[in-house]
Amino acid sequence: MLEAILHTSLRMATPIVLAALGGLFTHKANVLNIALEGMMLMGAFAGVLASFATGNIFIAIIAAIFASMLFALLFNVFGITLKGNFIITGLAVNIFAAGLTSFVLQVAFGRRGVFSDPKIVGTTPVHIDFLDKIPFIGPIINDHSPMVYVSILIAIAVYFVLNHTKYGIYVRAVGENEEAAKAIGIKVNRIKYSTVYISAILCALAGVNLSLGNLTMFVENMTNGRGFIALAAIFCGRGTTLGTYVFSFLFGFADSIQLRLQNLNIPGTFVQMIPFIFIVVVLSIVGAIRMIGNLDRGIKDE
Amino acid sequence: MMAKINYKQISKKVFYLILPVIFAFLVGAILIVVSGHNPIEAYGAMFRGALVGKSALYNTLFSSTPIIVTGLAIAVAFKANLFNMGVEGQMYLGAFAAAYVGFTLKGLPPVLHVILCILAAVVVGGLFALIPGVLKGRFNVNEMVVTIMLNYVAILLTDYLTNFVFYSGEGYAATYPIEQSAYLPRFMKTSQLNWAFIIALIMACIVYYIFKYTRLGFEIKAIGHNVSFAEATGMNTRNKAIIIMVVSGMLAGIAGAGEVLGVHHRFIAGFSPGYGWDGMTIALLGKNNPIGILIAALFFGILKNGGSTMELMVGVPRSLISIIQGLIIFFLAVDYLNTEFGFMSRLKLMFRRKVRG
Repeated sequence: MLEAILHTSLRMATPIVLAALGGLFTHKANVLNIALEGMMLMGAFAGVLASFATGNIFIAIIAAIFASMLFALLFNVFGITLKGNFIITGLAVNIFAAGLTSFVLQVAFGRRGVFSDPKIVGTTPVHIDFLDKIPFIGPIINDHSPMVYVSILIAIAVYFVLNHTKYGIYVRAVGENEEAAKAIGIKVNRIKYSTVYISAILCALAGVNLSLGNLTMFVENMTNGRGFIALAAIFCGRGTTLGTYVFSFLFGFADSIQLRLQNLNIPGTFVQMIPFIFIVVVLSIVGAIRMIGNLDRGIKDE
Repeated sequence: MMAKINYKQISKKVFYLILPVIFAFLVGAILIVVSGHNPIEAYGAMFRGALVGKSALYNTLFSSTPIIVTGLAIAVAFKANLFNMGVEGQMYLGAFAAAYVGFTLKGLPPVLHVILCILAAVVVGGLFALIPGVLKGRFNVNEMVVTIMLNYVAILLTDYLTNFVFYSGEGYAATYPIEQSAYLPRFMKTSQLNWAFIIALIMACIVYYIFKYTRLGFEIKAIGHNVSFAEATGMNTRNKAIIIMVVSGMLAGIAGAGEVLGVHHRFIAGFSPGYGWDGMTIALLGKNNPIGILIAALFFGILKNGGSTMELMVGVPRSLISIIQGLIIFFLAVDYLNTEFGFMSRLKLMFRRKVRG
């Protein structure tokens, strides 16, 4: 029972983890990336279309990354080069992505809302034999879509890149003090651009995981706020890689509890609120703790 | 002399406001061509469907009614640099409260009943906005993420209430109908335009008055301009953040009440096609100015009302409207730069540097 819940948690958490790890880069470079949601949606959509057209999962992933990067380029041009407000530009990306996906769906395929077809190839779950021998842990981490394992590897890579490479130091320098970073010759805009592209790639993987990981279909607005949940995970994790991962997993856990309760015939809509309420509660607790910490040192507020 | 300069500035401002709209329409035209239709025909059908004939005009005003109010709700917060993305959810709860008062209280005189319904919506919308307000004001929790999460909570909660607690037993998820005494009267039979539009106009006047002549309006502007400075002059910015959020939520509640009392006469689960999000575009396009918001909302009313005609007559999907909406927001970000930082001159400078090597 617990094993099954944790197994589902890992599955539900994966798109959040991927988007949050991408958002972590932009967060570190002090770019508020609301566009995670839109980039994820584009990734999911382009992935399904490419998989439908070619039947090849790798081409699907590449197409997803490409589409998501295009939207990142939009975000970069309007938000960074032209110095638009990040929140407004990010919002534009999200609205644009939602509109474009349903427009294309209707114009090119005459579908409304849902696109599924037997020709769409998804990822197949991976079964690792030797994990069967490990009690408890084995059943939790076995039999997942490959993106789940990729996300764990990426989390380790992100930790390493952010904390132990020159690029990571540059990103943090830009985020902490832009003027100082500029003064020592760091190309600030180039760093910011690159962080948005990285988040786009990871969002594309998250999107592919959504549309081709467990289901093989695209549903309008199928990201359903996961981009914002990912942002919440970053805020709750206070911008650390481990913290972000842990909170993403917790949010996935809340999601899996919700699924489990729905199976028990408790009204669905009522139960679906659990993850969202959970996130608000966690955000408030983390905020309150931070506030108390600040007051101790006699600092009032930011 | 003075008048001349002002005139020039105003025309410049108007130009920069219209420019994003033109750009968005141009990109939209490209998409229409790619999808194999004639953009002139499509846009023509859209504007004809929205503007030609009395009932078309009335329907356009009707389409703009809820988004005038959500636009105002968002502008109140935007102006103080608070991002209340939860207008959608606050509107849902407000609408539900209005419907609840509408079908539980019986035998009241019409005007009083309407007022009570709207009051309920205002109180519930405001209370729901109190949550992100307090979290922002007390613990400095990012209000944007919280309000978006609470949107889902509000929509799912009203879904649950309509489906299980107050389900009317009809084919679709809706509550019992409200009493006739709570109806907002309509202006004509062939259009759903109703008194909610007048209420929306009154709200625009009230927000205009608040911004221009009240202490709260001044404080909103001061906080939006520079929080640290506002704090330094002795303003309690944390309490103000809470108050501003609540005012924004109250307006959102009114938007919901208007939909229930004037249009559906009951609460329907998932009734909003994203009025809260449309309000965001409108607040941006109207530059947080109530008059600008009225104009922007009318413009969106045309898009919304004409969009269905376009789909019906020419076959271009209505989702083009949300694409245009997204594009307008993109280009608005550039416009900001044009006026504030002299983008063109910077571009010229960049160009010159490149030429020199």
